Amino acid sequence: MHLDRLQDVIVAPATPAGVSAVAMVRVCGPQTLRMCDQVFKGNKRLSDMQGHRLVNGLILDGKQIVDEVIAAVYRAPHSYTTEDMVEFYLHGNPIIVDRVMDLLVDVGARVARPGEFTERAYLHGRIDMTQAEAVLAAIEAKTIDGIHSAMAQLRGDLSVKIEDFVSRIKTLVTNLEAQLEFPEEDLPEDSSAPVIKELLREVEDVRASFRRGRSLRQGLSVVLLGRPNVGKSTLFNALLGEERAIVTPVAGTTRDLVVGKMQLPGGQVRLFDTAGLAAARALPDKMAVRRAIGAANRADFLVIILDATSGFVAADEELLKLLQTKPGVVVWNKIDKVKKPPSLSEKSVKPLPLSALKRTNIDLLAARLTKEVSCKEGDVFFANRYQEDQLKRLAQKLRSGLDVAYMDMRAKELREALGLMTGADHSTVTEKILDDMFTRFCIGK
Amino acid sequence: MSGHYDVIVVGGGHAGIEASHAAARMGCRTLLITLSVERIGEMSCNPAIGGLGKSQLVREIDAIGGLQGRLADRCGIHFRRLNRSKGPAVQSTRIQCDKALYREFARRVLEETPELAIWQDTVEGLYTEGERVAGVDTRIAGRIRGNTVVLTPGTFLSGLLHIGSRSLDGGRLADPSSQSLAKTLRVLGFKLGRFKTGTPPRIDGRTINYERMEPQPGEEPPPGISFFTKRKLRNQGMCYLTHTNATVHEIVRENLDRSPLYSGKITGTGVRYCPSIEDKIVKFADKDSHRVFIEPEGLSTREVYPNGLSTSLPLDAQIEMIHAVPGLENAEFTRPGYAVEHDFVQPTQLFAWLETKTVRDLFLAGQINGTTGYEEAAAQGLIAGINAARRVKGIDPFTLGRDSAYIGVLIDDLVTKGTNEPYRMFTSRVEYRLLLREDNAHARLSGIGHRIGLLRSKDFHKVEAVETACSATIDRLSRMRPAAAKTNQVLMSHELATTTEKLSLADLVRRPQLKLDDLETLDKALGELAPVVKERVEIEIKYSGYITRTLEEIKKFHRIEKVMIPEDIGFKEIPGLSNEVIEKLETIRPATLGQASRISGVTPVALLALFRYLKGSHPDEAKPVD
Repeated sequence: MHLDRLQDVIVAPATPAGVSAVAMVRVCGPQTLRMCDQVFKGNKRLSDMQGHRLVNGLILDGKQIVDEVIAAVYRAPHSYTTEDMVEFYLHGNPIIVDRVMDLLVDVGARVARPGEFTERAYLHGRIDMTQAEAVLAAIEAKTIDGIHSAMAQLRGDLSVKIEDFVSRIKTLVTNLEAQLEFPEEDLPEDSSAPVIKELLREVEDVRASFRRGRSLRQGLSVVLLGRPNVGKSTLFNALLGEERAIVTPVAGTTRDLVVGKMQLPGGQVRLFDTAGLAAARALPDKMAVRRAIGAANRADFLVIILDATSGFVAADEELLKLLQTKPGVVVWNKIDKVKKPPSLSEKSVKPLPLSALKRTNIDLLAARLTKEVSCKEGDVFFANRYQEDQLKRLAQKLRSGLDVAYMDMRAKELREALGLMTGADHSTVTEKILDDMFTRFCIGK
Repeated sequence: MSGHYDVIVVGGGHAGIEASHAAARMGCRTLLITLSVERIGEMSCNPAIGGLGKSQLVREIDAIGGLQGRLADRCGIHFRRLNRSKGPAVQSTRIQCDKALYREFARRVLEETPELAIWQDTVEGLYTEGERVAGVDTRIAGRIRGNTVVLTPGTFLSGLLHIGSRSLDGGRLADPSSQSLAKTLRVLGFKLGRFKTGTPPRIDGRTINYERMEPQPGEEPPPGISFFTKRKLRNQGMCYLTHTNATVHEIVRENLDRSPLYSGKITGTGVRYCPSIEDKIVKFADKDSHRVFIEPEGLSTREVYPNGLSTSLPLDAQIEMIHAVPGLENAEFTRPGYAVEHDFVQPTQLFAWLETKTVRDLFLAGQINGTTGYEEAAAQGLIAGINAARRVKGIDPFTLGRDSAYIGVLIDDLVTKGTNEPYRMFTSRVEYRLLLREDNAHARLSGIGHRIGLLRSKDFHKVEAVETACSATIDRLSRMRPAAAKTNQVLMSHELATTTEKLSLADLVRRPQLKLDDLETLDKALGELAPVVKERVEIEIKYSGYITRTLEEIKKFHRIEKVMIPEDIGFKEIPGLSNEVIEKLETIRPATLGQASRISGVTPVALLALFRYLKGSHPDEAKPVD
């Protein structure tokens, strides 16, 4: 139901996209101040401040400074929506706006729908009916049918693609529910898993094209990850063609994130070298590991480095898991030191064998990155933040729908996916599904 | 039968049984009036209780203290649990019953219920005093006074049977319908609709060639449905599977013009979920075969029920068609198939506690509310009976939410949305399906059943004992962390990757590949657990992630579900509501903002306006959005 959403903390840029002197990002909802404190560092914690006060400070990503900003704090009920609200005044650079949005979403905020701030202002009695009417009329559709008109407002290919996703998820859910409700009918066998896989692949394709669009504008972020001493920094240097990172035979040489820019045909890469991931004891090591993980979470693309001389070890397992949610490539480094790289066929990954030291196959890895940044036919470069967020959530749902013990769980994930894409509530979805089911299948005794 | 009653229940079907039993058990002087004492508990259609979505209802009835589950176990002759591999939330038990035994035991249980009297008569009208009902008028005994009345007339409300072009007055073959009751309801201002349902012919089992069919044995050990059944269950009947074919379809097509369904004679809306064979063949013309299950009507009869061949074709066409089904070439009929049309009261005219909005103290349950199915009827009968009793005692109405029971979903759907076809329960209607399962019905509801004075203490203690054992076991399994070496033995024997961590046994059970039984080498005590405890523990642990998620969703749901709408609210005064929306809200009179949100045609915009108004005019009541 729509009123549930009043509980969410929502965030949106309040200034138009593009380069300008100042950009503003607005956050509101019940836990706003606490959430903002997780990314904002000023003289005072925002949650300790009175309303209608400004404070100067930094937006931090871990230890890294994203921007120096001014934050305005509004305390309930004295704000536009009558809820707690924070406005951040940033430097007017779309990349900074994006990163601040990302950080806030990471700590639990949701990207606001169009008109959502005004909707809240009305709901909480801040503005009256006439003022809000225009906005209210635009509030999203309650039914699946309504989605078509809502969708028509989106532009071009993306809306066609999304509509296609929606109709395929609906078919999936109908088939699945028919299987569950009518076990004794001769219905077609359940074939949901491969269909979900294919759908997921296509959703990820669209998301990848968003990333390519962004990499055109600001560079694709690629993070090198691996256990200590697998040769991340050597590879980093090899890719950049210069000795940027310090390389020693001592495990744990790299602690801070090291960034380098790679210009590839078709786009730019921001390459990050990280500390080796291992169970750290000393505090500086712990912080280094945390930073590496943070970078991995925000990365567009991962390069997972395995050491061919030590073979695949249990700790590498964790690294491979990251690829379930993020695109990336796995490489065997140090193949110059072994006869043949170990096989990993049972993990269903095919690592790219290379030697960073001898510069063997570095060109293949570079080609792989080139493919990632190059534009493709039908790419969707400009989705709004809401759509990006939606497709990200959709991919998550599809993935959890695959990884289930029972079909009833799969049905739940897919129904949520449908709700997510259409905004339809449970009973509207059910009615549509039942209609569809009884039209398509002859069931019932 | 004499004097004045607290609760009068009209109708001895599945709704009437639960209603009269519940009211009497709760201490009310109760009278059950039925057209025929012998027909109490008749299964007028298929001989089974349970199935998908329905067994969940039966388990809930059982948990609260109702009868249907116990009766089904007592009379069961063929037991199955469906969907075992698809997940506990969609598992359902189905029991083929001996119909004669079902009648016998239903009647006996009622006869043994203190405070409950039975009277055979025809109710011709309702006796009202002002805005409330005060009794019934019967054909033989005349006026019988009562504080509350529960109506459960089933298909007997202006029932009309169709076989080909013949129409017979009746609620069931050979049983007369009740015409005047519907008239009374109309006079009282109720809006009535008309639904159609149907049943297949019955066949003499001696004339069936079972060699041509596929046996469908019951499951061993037989899965029962009631938590409280002690006696050993036995599969004693056999079901068979056969199919229709091109010849059958041809015969049906040739005779369609003589089917009342297609000649325009039947006006009522049929059940999409139980289509007649005519419907199946017309609507799915490309399908060249449909399944037919042959089910025994009981152990003391050779009569069988050919499930899947519901029809209202003329008798000669029925016979010709049946003879074309493999195995039924020489089948002799014992009764014809027929369609039955009956009146129903659009259920939006009821409150969630099944009392009518226009006539106080009058409760409706079962097919009169537009549902189909024994289980749907029983569930409503139970709630109506409980609420009639509570009204007599002057206690607040009792309702179940969508988040606590299938019964809650069923009734909320009916009273909030109404229905334009016979309503059947489906698991997919239930938003919290992963939480509201067959296995935990008693954990969810027996406390409530006991508190309202329906479930006996000794039964409740049995439930409590199992639940205590479950939580103790879950607790132990979460704490037990055997050495990795021991755990790895189990993991390796299932070809799973080994671990270096000390995993808890609960962590292991969460793995899709492992079952509780696989861990007995790690925890000897598991071997001694009762099967019912084992099943519950395993499901609770395996589903724990989804259960937590669902509970979070329910918390969100409560934020608007708990925003009460005052009974005296004037929807017309709320700025921003369209006339259409005002009319809908006035008709349904939702009790909460959540219910309002489920009324079709109440737009988000209208909802926001309503919310805003509630917040302004009743700040305290509209507060719980947190």
